[in-house]
Amino acid sequence: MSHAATPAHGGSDHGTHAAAFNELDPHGAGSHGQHESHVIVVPFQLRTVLIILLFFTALTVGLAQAEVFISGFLEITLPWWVNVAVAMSIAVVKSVLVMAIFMQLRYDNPINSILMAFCFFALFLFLFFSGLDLFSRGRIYDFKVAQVVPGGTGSGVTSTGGKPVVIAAHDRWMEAWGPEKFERIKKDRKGHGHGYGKDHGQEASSANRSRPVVGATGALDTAAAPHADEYGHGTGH
Amino acid sequence: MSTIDPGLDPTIRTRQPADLAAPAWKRHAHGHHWRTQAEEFDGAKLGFWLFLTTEVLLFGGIFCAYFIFRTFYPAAFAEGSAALDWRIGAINTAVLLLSSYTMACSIYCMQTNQQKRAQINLWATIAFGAVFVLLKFFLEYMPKWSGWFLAFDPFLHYETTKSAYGGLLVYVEGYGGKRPGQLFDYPFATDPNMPLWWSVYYSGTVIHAAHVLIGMVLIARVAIKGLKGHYGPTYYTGVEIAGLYWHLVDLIWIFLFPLLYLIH
Repeated sequence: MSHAATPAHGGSDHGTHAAAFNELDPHGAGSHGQHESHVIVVPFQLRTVLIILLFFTALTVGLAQAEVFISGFLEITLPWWVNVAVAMSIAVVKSVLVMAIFMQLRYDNPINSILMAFCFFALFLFLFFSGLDLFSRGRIYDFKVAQVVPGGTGSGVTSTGGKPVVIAAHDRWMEAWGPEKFERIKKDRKGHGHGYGKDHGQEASSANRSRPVVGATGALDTAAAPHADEYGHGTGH
Repeated sequence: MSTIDPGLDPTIRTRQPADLAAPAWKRHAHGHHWRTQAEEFDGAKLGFWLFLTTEVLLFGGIFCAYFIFRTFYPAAFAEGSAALDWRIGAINTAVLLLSSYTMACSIYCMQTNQQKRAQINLWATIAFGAVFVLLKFFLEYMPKWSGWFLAFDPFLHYETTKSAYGGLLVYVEGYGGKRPGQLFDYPFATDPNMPLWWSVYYSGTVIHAAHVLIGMVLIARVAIKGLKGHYGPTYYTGVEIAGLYWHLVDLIWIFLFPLLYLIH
């Protein structure tokens, strides 16, 4: 006849927000599981962020092309890290926008933001210590900086008969086509490079500038590659 | 007194009979180990952000490999990046940004109970993802790996020597063979470390494309569940989680694109 006292249904909860934990109604049966309203990011905000993101994409591409233009017409070669630093800065801004608005980190529990920030810090540590090692390779022993043999010895690569892979590919096609056809196709493929301004056809690519190459270069020679001094000069940086 | 059937005890019942007519999202009862629905939602998001940190570190490994090999072999990376067409990369970036926008819009639609618009946005997100993967495969991977282009490829500007599949595919001599490591077969490489560049390029972009495909499957599952009325203003956790995964995929590409395509 008598059973456990009927708990107060959600009737007593109507005046308060459902998020308050009601020990008498732990499943929120009275309030049908309504939770407090979350921040709703409206399409206007989303569209604005989208346009900003697309603009930054265009900016990244534009600045990269501007660097090519500057190098071609004005003959100023910017250091390799300028391109990387600018592109990465813009990428960081874009990613912060995506995380804050699209992923709604801005409106979330701060623990989520702290988590993500720590993850990026961990990644930074990963890259930082790798970089510490990389950029101090030549400090004690010079030979640790240079490539020991450009392209490797090829030993253990059975399909190339002991030759470095790139040389083996070169020789394979030279044999298949013959020298004349090889040179003709090479000229046709390489002629669609990024060249602006004066013809840079004979210079090898470097980290500062990629160049279309026409004709033979000495890059596949087994002579040692130019090695860097402790300031990084001599490797084309 | 006889024991009361727990199924009839109103103190432990979580839904009222009248609710059976309501859509599934209205009838959703949070797990009994959560105090409120809000806490369940926050818990799901926290758990997924923890997973996203592992995804960031996964790609962080690839970025570290890129960093190391670019430092050691800058000429190979410059030459390799010159073989990539930045226009395809830029189009893919725009496609992914648009897909992130439609995904965020679908969450707004769920929050305001606009089920039809939410469906349109979810399927649009999947469509953009499909466009990304198709562009990547047919305009980039297929030509670089094998030398075979789609006949109507707008970025094809070489002479072709043969065709296949009734003219659908055309072959350019001396273009293909840009493959990683031992598979490398491109005749005109001038830097001996080109296979390393292609290894970094393929590993980074293929793992990213796999994530795009996984994301598409997740969003499709969410969209189908949404068609059955499982998501609405008071319960849209699945949509939120799928959205977080998709935005991360977009984030990764935001970093991959300039590093791979815009080295000059």
